Amino acid sequence: MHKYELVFILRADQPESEMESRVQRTAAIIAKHQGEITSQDHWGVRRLAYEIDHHDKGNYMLMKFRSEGSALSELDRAFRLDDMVLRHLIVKDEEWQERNRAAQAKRRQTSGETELANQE
Amino acid sequence: MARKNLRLKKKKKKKRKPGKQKECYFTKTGMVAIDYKDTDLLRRFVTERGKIAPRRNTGTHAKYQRLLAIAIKRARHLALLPYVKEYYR
Repeated sequence: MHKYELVFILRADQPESEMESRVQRTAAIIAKHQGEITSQDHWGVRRLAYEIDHHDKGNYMLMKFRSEGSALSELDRAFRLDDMVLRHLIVKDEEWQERNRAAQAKRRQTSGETELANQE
Repeated sequence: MARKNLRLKKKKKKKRKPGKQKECYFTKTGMVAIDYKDTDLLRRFVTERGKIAPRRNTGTHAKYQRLLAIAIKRARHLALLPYVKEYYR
């Protein structure tokens, strides 16, 4: 079991029900591979940094999940074949924010200790 | 005389002047990971045209420059950052 992160961009001219159906389909695939979705973040419609197939806006969805690696090829295939999805990205969840926060907290602690040592 | 002219034609090698050493942002702030979703941060490390800024300009340590490059490329794929900035649209 590994942690993964998935972002996909749905065409902005599609209704939210389309987004919902993709989320459900994704959940079904993940469940099939003994995984589960841990969190979900709907960024909503954002302006794209460049046009993709003449679209300048996209509906972004971020999902974090835990599953066996076997789910990835199936997910990738599903998104690749989906014409309504402009882009998708599946990467290992490297827990960027959590690691940064931990490292910075640790640093504050150690620097605080040295300050104390200097005062003594 | 002719010899002198030849010598004059020789191109001078451009040397980069060693400017003031800039501090690595990631070392300074104690960051260990670079998130491709953090576009406000990534934007600081690309040029006006949207290219990845060289280390000599930003002062980023090699370790973080590598992580940064991956993050910027992922962000570009998801259209969070431009590949090239178009001024004349």
